[in-house]
Amino acid sequence: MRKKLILKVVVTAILTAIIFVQEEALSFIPNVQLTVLLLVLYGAYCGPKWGTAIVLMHVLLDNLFVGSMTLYVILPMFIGWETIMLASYFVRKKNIYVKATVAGIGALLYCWIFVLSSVVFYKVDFKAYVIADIPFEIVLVACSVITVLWLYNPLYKALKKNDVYLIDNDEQVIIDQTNE
Amino acid sequence: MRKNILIKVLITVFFLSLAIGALIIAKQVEKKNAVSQDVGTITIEIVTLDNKVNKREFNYKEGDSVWSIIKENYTVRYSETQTGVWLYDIDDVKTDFTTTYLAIYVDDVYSNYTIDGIKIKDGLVVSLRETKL
Repeated sequence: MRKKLILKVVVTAILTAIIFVQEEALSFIPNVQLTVLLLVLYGAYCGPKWGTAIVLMHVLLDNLFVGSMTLYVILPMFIGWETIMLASYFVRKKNIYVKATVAGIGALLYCWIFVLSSVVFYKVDFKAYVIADIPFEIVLVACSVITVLWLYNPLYKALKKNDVYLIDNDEQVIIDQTNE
Repeated sequence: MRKNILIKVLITVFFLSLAIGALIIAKQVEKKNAVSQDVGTITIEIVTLDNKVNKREFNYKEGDSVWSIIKENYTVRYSETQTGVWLYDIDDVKTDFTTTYLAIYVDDVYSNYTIDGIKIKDGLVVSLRETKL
């Protein structure tokens, strides 16, 4: 029991490191990242409890690293990523197109939470912010949908080979067959 | 199987073209709205005969010169000669080159150049001192 818990903690730390490193490594291209794909994957693989731990650690690490340790950034970021992770948990048994749709809508929602936060807390001009943000919203949505579509199934299968979390009582979650 | 891959490829192509299009448009808008950035600051001080100092700081951009900043921000009387620009009056300080003139000091050192010959650099202090001949 204790050994399983330690294993879960270790795997959670590794998964957090992966999400953090890829985001920083890809940060030179605005909004091109694998974060949404990984959150969709972690939501289905780790479940809401460990998934939330990963999201929380990632948000804290990311803001610590970038130097934006303020509640006005941390809170919308956490809400945005957590929503995607939880939504993916609930659609984990649906087909890949549903997951890609969740990723796309989640990415858009993530951008809009920041729009609201910037307008409310930083008094940024709403119209100007939205117009400037549209291209980057499209990039994030596109990136999320495409990566989930092509990479979700192979990565999920690879993770499930060493299932640590067993969120569905040892039952293998039905993997969409479309990619096989 | 093939149908699914085809659907995925179509979705990918659609989103990829959307993203590339959005980035190209964003880049073009950015270029259009690009404004020249400040590259440094200079200080210009006017010192009258009775040692009253009027000191102002200016941010300058690529292509600005000390002379262009003075012309833009002060009321000046000057003449352009073959040896350079001769500055007679600046705001309330008026000289005639027979009893008084405006001596130019750059970083506290007397300048041998006319005002249009001073090279701009960050942190430069240009002093225009009303001086008796």
